[in-house]
Amino acid sequence: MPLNAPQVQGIPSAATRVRRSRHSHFYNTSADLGLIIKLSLVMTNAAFARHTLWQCCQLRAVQLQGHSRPTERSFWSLVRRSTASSPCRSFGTSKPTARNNTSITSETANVEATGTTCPTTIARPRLSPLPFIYLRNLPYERSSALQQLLVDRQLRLRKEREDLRTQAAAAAATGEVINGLTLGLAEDVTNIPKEDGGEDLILLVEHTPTYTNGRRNRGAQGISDQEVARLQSLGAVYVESLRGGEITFHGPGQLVAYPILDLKPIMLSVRCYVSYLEKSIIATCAEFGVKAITTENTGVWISDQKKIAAIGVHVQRYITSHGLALNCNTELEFFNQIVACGLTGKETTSLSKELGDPSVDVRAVIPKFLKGFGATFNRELVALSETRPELEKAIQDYIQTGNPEKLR
Amino acid sequence: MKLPADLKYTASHEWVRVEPDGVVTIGITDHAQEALGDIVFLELPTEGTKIAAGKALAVIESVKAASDIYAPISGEILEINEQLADEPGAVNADPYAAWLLKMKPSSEAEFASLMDAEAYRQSIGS
Repeated sequence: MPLNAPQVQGIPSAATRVRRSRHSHFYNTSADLGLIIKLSLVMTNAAFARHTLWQCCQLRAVQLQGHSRPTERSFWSLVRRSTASSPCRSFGTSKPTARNNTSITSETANVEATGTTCPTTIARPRLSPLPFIYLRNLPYERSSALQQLLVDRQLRLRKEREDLRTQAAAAAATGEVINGLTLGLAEDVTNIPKEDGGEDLILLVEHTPTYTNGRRNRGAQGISDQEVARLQSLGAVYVESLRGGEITFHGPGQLVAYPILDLKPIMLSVRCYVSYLEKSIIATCAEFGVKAITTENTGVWISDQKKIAAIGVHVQRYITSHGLALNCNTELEFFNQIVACGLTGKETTSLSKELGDPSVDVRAVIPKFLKGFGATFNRELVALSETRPELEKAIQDYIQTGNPEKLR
Repeated sequence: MKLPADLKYTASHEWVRVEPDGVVTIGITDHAQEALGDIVFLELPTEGTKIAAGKALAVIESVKAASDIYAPISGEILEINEQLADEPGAVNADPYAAWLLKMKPSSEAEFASLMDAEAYRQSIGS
């Protein structure tokens, strides 16, 4: 999608302000990112391992049209810098590794039930790995429609599994033939996928410049037409969303993450899920040496005044959509044009502003974010292209064509 | 965890009270309001809307998230609780007093699929 934001006096085009890292051509696709993360685990000082890694990535670089080959040293230092001790433990497989086998304690369930605090960790040991996919220059409305398709898909698959279990249990109990299922199905019960979040995924997105507003502020409750026109004149579109929360801005330089998760296997309430998103962001900022906090206002902050990440979530039958937006090197002038998130007197900041380094862009932050998210949610992150290539293709097709057939 | 014994419940955390005149009053349980956090906005259907069991009925927005609520039974919306427009927090304060809406049920047979207090308590693992 071309980033042809019209030039407006005073606000530089968002496209030109995002300075790409020298190494950005290394991971044009999330497949590459997955490759880098997995291969980084083989990092040792052994010359053989390094050379093998180098060969693989040279081959990949050649496959990417029009990109010059990086030098071996520059590539290696990038990988080492960005993915040291990644939580992504799988190497060529997608099996969950043996984790601390804390069983789901009744203590955790009771803590949730009383609602005073959230569980300190996600205790369930056998969640399947969480695939991620990186989508750049994605218009907001297309991404909202995509998320709804993915949520509907998860709900449909969950219902199929529940129906199968009900049928299998009935067949096993009575020995009858039900809908053509015989007693043999009692063995097939083990083949019904477990409730381990196997259909979860997380979208990592950079949007074209967009102001969005929450569902409270739709239609008659929305902002005036003049205000919409004013925002559009800044080179952004204005969209009413179904997420919670107030008005905010999304655009290049901002990492937007949309986890589409089933909260049931994770056993997190809506409130605690949001708290965990906040913790993931805090962990990500910590990777850059930036100390972030939560305050009485939702989101993640650097101080009481400066907000670095916004959160707005929609939950349908325990399936989450929408999510968080972390400013990496976003053009912050866009935020000065609104009362972001309805909070007067506060300002918006970004990682690059806090670090005084404009090169901290979305691609630099993604590996750290995956690490922080994986650690907080106690879950392995894998590239969708590696584990579910047909689903990744269906998503890419939908984004290009708007035809949802393959996702139904 | 408050759980009045004279109400019926659903697995998706709504409570249902059948009034003497056949009208059904619906709200969300104590478990639900704790799970959502401080409620700031309720998006309720308009009176006269007809809805089928299991379809999205309302959206409750807390400070953190917007969560869909589903119809426990089929019927027609008779009345919504106007007080909640000004005081959404009433649902957190007393979820069994702060009803969301009243419906005229289209089929009493659907009541059979609702849970009693004990079954609901077990379903939430309390």
